[in-house]
Order: sequence, then structure tokens, then C-alpha cells
Amino acid sequence: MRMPRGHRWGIAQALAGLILVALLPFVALELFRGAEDVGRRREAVVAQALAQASEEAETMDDYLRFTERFLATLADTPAVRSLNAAEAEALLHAVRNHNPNYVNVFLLDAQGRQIASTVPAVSDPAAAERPYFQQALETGRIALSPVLTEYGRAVVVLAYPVMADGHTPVGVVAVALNIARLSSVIGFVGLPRGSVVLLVQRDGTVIAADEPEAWVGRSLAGSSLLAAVQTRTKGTATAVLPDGVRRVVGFQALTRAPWLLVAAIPQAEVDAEARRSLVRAGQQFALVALATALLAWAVLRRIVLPIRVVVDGARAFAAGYLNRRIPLRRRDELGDLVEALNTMASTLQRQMEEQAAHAAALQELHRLQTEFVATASHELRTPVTAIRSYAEALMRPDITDPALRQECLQGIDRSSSRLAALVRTLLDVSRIDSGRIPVTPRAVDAEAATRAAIAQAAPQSPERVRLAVMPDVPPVRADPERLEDILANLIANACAYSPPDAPVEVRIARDGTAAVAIAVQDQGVGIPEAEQERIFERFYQVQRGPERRSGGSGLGLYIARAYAEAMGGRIHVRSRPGQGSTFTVTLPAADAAEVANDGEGGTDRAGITGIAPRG
Amino acid sequence: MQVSPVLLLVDDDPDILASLAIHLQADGYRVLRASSGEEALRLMAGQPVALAIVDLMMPGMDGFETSRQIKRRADIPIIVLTAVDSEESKVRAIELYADDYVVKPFSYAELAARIGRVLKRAWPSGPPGALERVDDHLVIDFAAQTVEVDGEPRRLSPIEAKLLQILFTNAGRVLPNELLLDRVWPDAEGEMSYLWEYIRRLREKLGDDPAAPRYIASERGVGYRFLKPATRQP
Repeated sequence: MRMPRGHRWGIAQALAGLILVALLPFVALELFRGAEDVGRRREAVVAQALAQASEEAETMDDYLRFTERFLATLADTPAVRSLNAAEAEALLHAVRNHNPNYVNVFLLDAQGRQIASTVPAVSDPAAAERPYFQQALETGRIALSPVLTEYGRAVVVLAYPVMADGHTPVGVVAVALNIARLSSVIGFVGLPRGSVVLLVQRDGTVIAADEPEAWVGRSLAGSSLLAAVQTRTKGTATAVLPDGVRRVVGFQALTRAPWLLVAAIPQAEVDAEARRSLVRAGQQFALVALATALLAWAVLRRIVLPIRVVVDGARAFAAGYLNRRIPLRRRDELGDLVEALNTMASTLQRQMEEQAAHAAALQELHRLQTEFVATASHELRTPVTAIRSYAEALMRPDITDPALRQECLQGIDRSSSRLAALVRTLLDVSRIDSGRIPVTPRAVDAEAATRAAIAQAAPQSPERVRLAVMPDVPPVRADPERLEDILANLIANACAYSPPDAPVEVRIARDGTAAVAIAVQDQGVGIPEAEQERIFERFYQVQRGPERRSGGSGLGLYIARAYAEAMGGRIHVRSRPGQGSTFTVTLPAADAAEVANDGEGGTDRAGITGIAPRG
Repeated sequence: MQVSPVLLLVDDDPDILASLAIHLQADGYRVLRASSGEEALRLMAGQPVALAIVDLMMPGMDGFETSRQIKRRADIPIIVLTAVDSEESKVRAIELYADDYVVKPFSYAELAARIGRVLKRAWPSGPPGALERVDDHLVIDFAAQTVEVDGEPRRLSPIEAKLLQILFTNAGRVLPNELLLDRVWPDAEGEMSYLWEYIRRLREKLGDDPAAPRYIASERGVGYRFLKPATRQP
């Protein structure tokens, strides 16, 4: 009965597949964007290196420009212009004290002799031969020395010509810059780990660095960088620096000095950055995918779970649980399906209940009939057995006692009468069943018929039945034998169901102008209202007291009513439990013509009155 | 002294009762006539009945219930009279309490044959009389449900009386435990422990020693046996 599991998941699978297919372009796009991003990140890092180099070069240029302006200002002071040693020295000292980067500030005359110095103990005897000295004097502009080792440290000397009158150089004022202190000027912010910023001479010697201890004094000569640097003033390259690390390099030449600023970012960091970028893209994708999956699950729940509910409900119907309803309220196709299924179930349920009720009614009828057959069988067999047994006793040669033999004969007589009455009852039922009831109605004296019935019903104690006849009761139109049977049946019942010796009253009276009512009233336990109609039904037996069956097998009242109706009358009961019952037979009064014909006997006018079978 | 067996006749039809009584009395039976189940139970309380003949279809207490109540009170055979010629009904009657059945209308000859056969099967050594003198020490009064041991009367409970009657009427034969359980407690409510208890009480009332029994001998693992006078210790 169960479907294979795979089948059960069909819709879910299809939907999941659909969602995956819909996701695919997105996945591709995301991957593409990720790759693109890696490239962009790489470029960005390179640009960053170049920008850093430019920025640092500018800073360094600014610094040099500042120093140049400082020297120019100094050269223009009267003390310097006049080459006044004492005044100039005081001025130089004051200036130097404000600039810790300056190792020495000194003034030379045009022949290279030292006029004043902040470090008087040290003087350069060959100052006149120094290229920067001569260059300054000749060009009348600032000149820069290569890196020198003076004063016990690496310095760069900047020399500026002193003009006495504005045209003729009379000397040179110079500053020895502590290169080591230059390193504090450069530096960087925001470059990846392992990056370096270097100030490099044209020959490749590093003169300053953000990490001076590691780099100052080393030469980049021999690295592939230098070749690129020689031909351009600004650019990027990839090179292995002397520390053996491959780096992406951005470089920029200074304008004020023959130096280069180099910002170098390790290739590994660039790659790592690219990787991080990729990871970020992956994370984003994962997030989006998760969100999509959740959405898909929600959609599946909304579609597949209700379908399962419908399937379960349909299976329950199939298994016969038609009283169930699929508990799903939706305003979509699924909702329509559920409604259709539920309607189908209720229709089926109603039909099956109708069938069941019909079957139950049939079964009840069958049960009653079976019971009737059993009872009738017993009722027929019992007197036959008794008759047979008595007869056998009469035939026994050893039973000779005349009293016993007399008893046997009386017994046979009793049993035969019972048997005959029973056969008649069964025949009556058979006739009623076939709808053909033989009655011969004629004018009958109700009182006479009633007296005969009393004699038949209570032969032992007729005085127990009290008869009251109202005046002016006309003859009734009835079959006298049948009327007598009906009344006898009612009177016998009344006697049977009343306490012993309690009187039974029979009252004959007019009922309107054209009818006569004969009422039989007992003082029995009464009949519950619910049973008052049923007692006239076929086979219906009232369970009242230890008394045996009243008139056979629950057929007496059935037959009585059938005959009463066949004669154009009716029979009904009024009863209250505990207050006795009154059965009343109402018959039409005979008309004058029938009364006149009474004497001639009505048997030759015997007819058959058909009535429709009841229920 | 062989007394005539007492038959309990139960039928609500007076003519059946009367005609069968004429036959049965002519054949030497004593007949108790009951027109209802209740009356039958009242009548059988006073005297030991050898056989009950019960009509199946009666108002009030029907034949089934009457048979059940009879079997609860005494271990006697029952022949059922039925007018219902249905197989199911017969089987039910026989399986439950009846030892045999006759379908109405039957001839008396047929009933008589069945009565004879059932009586012989149920009472191999003849139906118990009201008063049975077992030996010099023990007299059983089945009607009064008492025993007299060395002149001293002792009352038996209904179950004790029933058990003693079964054992006594099968004197000399080993009665298996299952058979005793089945017949003493026909409603299948008996247990072995009940049986042992009632045997113990019965022996006590009869003054019987289980180690050297004069009346009720144990057949270990099988059942019990009422000893015939001939095999009794002197």
C-alpha cells in the first residue's frame, strides 16, 4: 500500500533541482567577480606601493626644499654675508640647536677656508676641492654632496653660496645632514606587513629607510630593480631585494637630490591579500547560498509539506477512515484539491452510512424473521411432541389406569386445539403478508360479539370481565368471527397482563354518528409510550413480567390491527405506565340495508378485501 | 437396596411434562416436574437427582442457564429437549452442559433410549441413593448433604458433597485431577489448589488418614480413587 520513498520525494527533488539550476549563473558570476577582485586587489597594492613612493619622495623633496630655504635665509643674514666669524658662529650655533638633524652648520669663504662652524674642532682642509663646494660657487645654487662619513657618522652636505652683493659669491654656508636622522622623516602608514620604504642613491646605496638598521648602507646594485630605476623617474617593478624577498616595488625619483624613493611590498603579502579577497568573495557567496537555501527550504515546506498532508489524508480515506478531514486551508490549487477530497470523503461517508443503516434495517428484519421461525418452530413442535407422547402412552400395554388414559386423551385434545390455533395464526400472517385478507362484513351486534369473545378469552373466569354497553349502540359492519377473534385477543391480553383477579373492563359506546368503539381496559403495568406503536408491529413481543407469550408469538396485535383495518375500522391503544392500558377497536356502524339483510346471512356475500401490506 | 433413579423434568409446557411423566413413571423412574428453571433448582436441592431433562426454550431462565445452574450444584447428566433444529444451537447446548439432546417432536422411545444410555454412562455403579451405608463406620446422606462417621453426623458443603458424590459413584476407579476439576467446577473456575484443599477437608470430615486411607486414596500425580469396600483395610 505504501508508495516507494523516492516517489514521495519527487516534488521536493524537482524543486531543489530547479533552485540549484537557478543558482548556477549566480555562482559563476560570483566566482568571476572573485577572480576579478583578486586582479584588482593586486593592482591596488601595486598602486599603493607607487603612491607611497611618490608621497615619501615628495616629503623628502619638501624636506630638502626646506633645508635649502633655510640655507638661503642663512646666507642672506648680515653676519654670514660679511663673513664675520664671531657673529656667524653665534648664529650657526643658534640655528643648529633648533635642528637636531643638522650634525654641523658651517661657513666657508670662497677659498674653502672655514670661517665659522658649530663644530670648530673639525674643519675640512680639502673643502675647496669638494665637488659640492665648487658646484655651489659656480652655479650660485644649492649643491648636494654624496653620502660622506664625517663627524663619525654618515652625512650629506648641502652647500649654498653666500652672495655679498647679490652677484658675487663670497663663500658657502653648508649643513651636514645626519642621514640616519633622515630615516625618521620617511616612513609609511597602511602598507602591508614586510613592506619597506627606502631612500636610495643613484648608485643603489640605501641612504635611509623606515628600518635604518636593516637597510641603510646596503646596496641595491645587482638587483633587477636598479636597471628599471636607471631609465625612469617613476614607476613600478617586481624585484628581489637584497634580503632575498620578492617584492612589488613602486619608485619615484626626487627632484631636489639624485635619490630615489622606493616603496616595496612583499609579493607574498600581495598574494595573501588576493587570497583574502578571494576568501571574502567565498564567504559572501556562502552567505548568499545559505540564504538561498533557507528560502528554498521555506518554499519546499510551503509546497511539499502540505502535499504530504494531502497524501496522508487521501491514504486515510483509502484505508476507510472516511470520517476524517484533511486539515488544510489554502486559497490555491492545493486548497481546491483538499476541498474536493474532503467533499468526496463526506459524500462517500454519507453513502456508506446510508447503506449501513439500510443493511442494519435488513438485518433487524432478518433477525426478527429468524426469531419468529425459531419461535414458531418451537410453538408448533411442542404440541406435536405432547400429542405424540400422549398417543404413545395410550398405545403402551403397561399403562392401563383409566384415569391416566383419560388424562392422555384430554392432553391430546388440549394440544390439538393449541396446534390448530397456532396454524390459524400463521395462516393469517401469511394472508396479511400476501395482502389478501378474507373478511365477510355484515351487520353484527357488537354486544353479542363481545360476549362471545369474553367466553372465548376467559372461559374459567368470565366474571372477571365487566361489560358495560351504552344505550343506542347501532350494529357494526364487521366479519363476526374476525371481530370475535380481535376482541378475544384484546381481552386475553388484558387478563394476562393485569394482576390476578383484577377486573378487566369492556365498554361499548357510540363513536360519533357512524362508528362504534369497543374499549378493553386493564389494570396492568401499562405500556411505555415508546412501545405503544411498536406493539402492533409484526413479531414485536412485550417483555412484561413472568407471564408467557400472550397470544402466540408477538403476532396477535399485528393480526388484530390488520383485520380491523380490513373491515374498515381501526385499533389503537392509550396507556400510561403503572395505570393500565386501554385498547379500543373502532368499527363503522352498519347501514340500514345491511341491518335488513342480516337475517339472510352474509356468507353468500363473502368477498375478499384487499389491503396494502403494512410497512 | 436399589432405589429407582430420580429424574428432574424441566419444561414450561404442562402437556409435555404430564405426558413424559406418565411414560417415565410407568418405566419405574421417580419424576420431579418443574415448569421453570427456578422451580427445577428448588426441587433438586431436596434430593439426589440422577438425570435432568431440560427444555431449551423457556421463558425466564432458559434451558442454557438452567443447565448451567444445575451443573454448578451437582454433577449430574443433562439431556436437552430442543425444538430448534439448528446445528449451531445443538452444538452449543452439547458443548456447554448437555450430555445429550433430543429434537422435538421426538418419540418417547427415542428419549427413553437416550435416558438409559446417559444414566449407564454417568452412573456405572448405579445412581446414588439418598442414603448410602459405605461400611460400619461411614454413612453418606446425599439428600441432606451430611455424612455420619461412627454415628456422629457432620455437615458437608455443597462442593464437598459434589466431590464426594463423584468419587463415591466411581468407587474403585482412579479419577484424574483434570476430570475432577472439570466436573466439580464446570465453569472452569477450579484450580488444583482448590481440589487439594477440598480433598483435605473431605478426608478430615470422613476421619480418613491420607497415609493409610480407608476411603479416599491418592494416586500420586494422577488423581484420586474412592476405595471399594472389598479393597478396604479391615
